[in-house]
Amino acid sequence: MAVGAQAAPVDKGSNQHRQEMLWGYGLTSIWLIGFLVFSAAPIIIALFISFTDWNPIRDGAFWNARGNGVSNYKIFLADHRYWHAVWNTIYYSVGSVGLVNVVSIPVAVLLNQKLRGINIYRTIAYLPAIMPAVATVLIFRMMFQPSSGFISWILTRLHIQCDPSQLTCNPYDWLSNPRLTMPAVILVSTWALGQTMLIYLAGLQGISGSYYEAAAIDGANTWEQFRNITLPLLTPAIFFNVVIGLIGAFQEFTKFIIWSGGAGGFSGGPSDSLLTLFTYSYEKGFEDNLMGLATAMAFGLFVLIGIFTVINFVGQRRWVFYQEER
Amino acid sequence: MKRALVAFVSVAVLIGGTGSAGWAQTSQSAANSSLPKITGCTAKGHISFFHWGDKNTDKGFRQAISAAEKACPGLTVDNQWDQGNYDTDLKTKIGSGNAPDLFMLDGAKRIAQYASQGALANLNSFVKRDKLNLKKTYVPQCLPQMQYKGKTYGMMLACSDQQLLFYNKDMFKARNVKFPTDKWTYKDFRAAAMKLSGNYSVPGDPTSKLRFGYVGSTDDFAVQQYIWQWGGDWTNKAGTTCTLDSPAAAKGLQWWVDLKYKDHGAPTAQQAGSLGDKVSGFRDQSFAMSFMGPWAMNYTFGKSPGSTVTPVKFKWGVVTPPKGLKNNQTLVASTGLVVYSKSKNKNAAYWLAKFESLGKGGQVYAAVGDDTPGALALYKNKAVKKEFGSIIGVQNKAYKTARRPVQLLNYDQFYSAVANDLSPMWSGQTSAADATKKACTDAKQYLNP
Repeated sequence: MAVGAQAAPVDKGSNQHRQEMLWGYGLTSIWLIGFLVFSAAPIIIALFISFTDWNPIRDGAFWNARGNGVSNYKIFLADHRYWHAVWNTIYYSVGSVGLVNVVSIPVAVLLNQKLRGINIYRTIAYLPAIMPAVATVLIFRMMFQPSSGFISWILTRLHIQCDPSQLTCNPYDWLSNPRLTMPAVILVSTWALGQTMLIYLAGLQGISGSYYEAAAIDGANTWEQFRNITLPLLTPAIFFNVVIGLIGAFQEFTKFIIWSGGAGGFSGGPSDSLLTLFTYSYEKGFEDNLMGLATAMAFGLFVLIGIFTVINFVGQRRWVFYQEER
Repeated sequence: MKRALVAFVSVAVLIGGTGSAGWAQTSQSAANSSLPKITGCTAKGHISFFHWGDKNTDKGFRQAISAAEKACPGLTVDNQWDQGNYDTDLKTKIGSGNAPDLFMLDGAKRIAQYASQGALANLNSFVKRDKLNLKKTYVPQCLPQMQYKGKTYGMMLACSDQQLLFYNKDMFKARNVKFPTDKWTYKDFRAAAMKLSGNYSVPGDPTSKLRFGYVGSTDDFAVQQYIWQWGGDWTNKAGTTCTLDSPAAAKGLQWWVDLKYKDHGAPTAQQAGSLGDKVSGFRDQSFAMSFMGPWAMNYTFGKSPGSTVTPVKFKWGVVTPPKGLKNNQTLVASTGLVVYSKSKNKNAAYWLAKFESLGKGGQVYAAVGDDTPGALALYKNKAVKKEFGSIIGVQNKAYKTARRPVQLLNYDQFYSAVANDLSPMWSGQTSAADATKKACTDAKQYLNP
């Protein structure tokens, strides 16, 4: 067939059509089977489990579990710790996503400059994103140690806290003071901002230089150019980062477990300050052996993520601008 | 003469028969410090055995399993060593229909829980068949932890006192404080802890740094011990009522909070972070005293053969726990080998549990310093004596005031809720009276029915 020539329609009953169909199904079947086995089936099984009182120690495998209707959903909705976990989840998600985005934009702007060796700076800025979360949190945990960590050292030198080497000094406790644990974990989340920053960088490079030239002719200074050109044209990237960031933050698990000293005996951190929907679901499932309840709670988290995503998509009409629309 | 000969032969046959039907520990073997001989194997087939421990423990178990397979031809064992979170991994195995036939389980915390949920096989019929006198076979102080509602579910692999008072002689000398004795009370303990706290150097660590008398543990065993000393407990004997909010319990806990925040004899929560726990902090000479079990030989002092930690350079000693101001009791805990209730080869799993707890397995477990044996006969074993010789005498004294935690069917959940509410108390933000009241409110859902 010559390039540009229109392909002749294939008769649906023909051998060629059947062959093409077979090839089509054959090539997509790998993905389809993978989706059915590893995504669809677990979701359906999880939904089934959420309507049972499955206790692995008592019942063994999940198919031995007894159905209990919507009891699990009623139990967690009436549980005050669940609502505390909802609050903590929102607190962390909004806090960390907000902070990461606020920090990422200026970093991306800096890395968008035409400087010698800029690629090296970009690589350095991205490097933390490829570090394993467990290692990152463990290192930060050491830095936040109340008496000997780097943060404590700085606070002592700045006379913000007492000298931890004194017997009667109680330094700021980022690991076990319920008021400080969540802010500390939120601060740690800014470490791996490479992914978010990279998207902003791509967004910045997509903004046409003609806007800045026109603004400069009109006498706009750098801040005015940033506020009136860069920021509005970056809103699609901000929107993307906020949606993806929130979905990820709602499902955060590693940071809380490591920050509170490891999975064994996790009970929500000091005074439940690190109890989120994911960690609470883990606690119910793997510590209390209430797999049915834990699974129902996971669906609660799914609904919460859904609500926030819908709010984002509905709200974006008011504040997201696309260059084409301008 | 003829009648006497017949009687003699009959008795000899009877003794021999009993031995071959079950286990037999000859007095000769005990005198020679060798292992009890486990005979009468009726086990056949393939079973799986799931256990925790470090690589040294695993190596030991592999040796023990080889010995079991040799002693019982026709039996093969799949040794499964867990290097992750044992409790979670065990539940995952059971939940996925992949439960091991035989596994290790914490006697103080979990055997009752697993038994009450039908996950463990009742071993009474096997014990009866083998004419095993449990009270004469295992350390009696821990035996009830292998049982639930009168039924035996575990063969005791290890039993020990968890609150032996280990102390760093170098630190005591550096501060000119007299060594602890078995006659110490908690008043003596507090006075010493205060004197041992401050900025100073010790021979093995010339850096002058902030050190404390006591580590100030807040784990579940420590909390119970703190409460017991003042006559309280966290529940009633049946585990059906939370008594953590009783004046005795609150007073006991407040005493330890005061030791941290008023007396400065132990680090506050804010100070403790970088000092390590009762093992690492004691090793680093940050703390002069620590309550630990015999497992300290391996994990703290690095004294055991093949230990994964380096041996400590300071001199140390051990005494019985100090006497409480109202009560004098010390916490004992154990490890059991339990058979899964749905195992298809319970007989083989039981036999291996018996073999491991009474013979090579128990010896290996003790010889690598993991814990003192559960089987009484093993205390005569050379390797066990070598490993725990300096501790066994102290532990035997401590056993006189042994006490077991109440069998809670939701031990982990109960403690988890309690720990969560006691956390502000340990941080000095609230009183023990307030914290324990809240703890009882939140933890009551996990009490025994």
